[in-house]
Amino acid sequence: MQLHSETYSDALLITVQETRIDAAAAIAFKDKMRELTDNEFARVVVDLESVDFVDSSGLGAIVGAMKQLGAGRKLELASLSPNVEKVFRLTRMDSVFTIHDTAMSAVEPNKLAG
Amino acid sequence: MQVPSNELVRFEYMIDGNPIGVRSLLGQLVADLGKEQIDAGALTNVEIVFAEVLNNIVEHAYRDDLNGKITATVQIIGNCVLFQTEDFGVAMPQNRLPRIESKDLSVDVISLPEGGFGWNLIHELTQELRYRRVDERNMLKFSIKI
Repeated sequence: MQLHSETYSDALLITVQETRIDAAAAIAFKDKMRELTDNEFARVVVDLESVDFVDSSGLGAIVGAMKQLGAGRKLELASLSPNVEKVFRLTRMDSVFTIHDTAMSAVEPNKLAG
Repeated sequence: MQVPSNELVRFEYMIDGNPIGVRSLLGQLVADLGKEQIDAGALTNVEIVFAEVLNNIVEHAYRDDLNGKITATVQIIGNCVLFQTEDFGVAMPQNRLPRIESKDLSVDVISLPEGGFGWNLIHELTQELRYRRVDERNMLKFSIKI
């Protein structure tokens, strides 16, 4: 499970470098997220731009990753592809997460596009 | 009398019931249906539903048996795709489909569910979902509009 993490002034950006967060990958995702978020960042943004499929196990792992953060910390998502957005919408989990169009707009919202 | 011919498009698959087998079947199915000019939205629904159906068989019917076989038949008939899966795993509890549970998502983060979304997804996107237990076999049938 390839995840890449980068720090920004008020957020930790984790980029998922896999195309699927599914039953085969869910446990590895949750475990890797636990490692990468074992720090003090209050905001963790997960960039899902490379992910074109999330099943209910993957969704559960994303929820689990959020719960692992603990109180006072937030997990936000960015760049949901249409397939992934559909699963979040059908399960109504899009109401539970803050979802950004792009990772950059989540971590550097004041930077002018250019 | 000329009878319009219905071209029968039918695929059959068999996999070992484990997550890697499921990934390979999904990839093959999406490729096969993609060649039949099914639109992207419908293909998404197919992959979402079929992932849940297959994962349920792997996790609940076959549990720790990574080599239990799952067979699937997929037929395009008119504006529907008909699916049938068969496995030799344990029966569904009470030999019937689980009830849908609607989830309260307004709870605190700590109390959010991490599972149980699968059957809701299946019910949302399929029609005519039916389950039968025959001898030692589970048979699930459903259709998806395309």
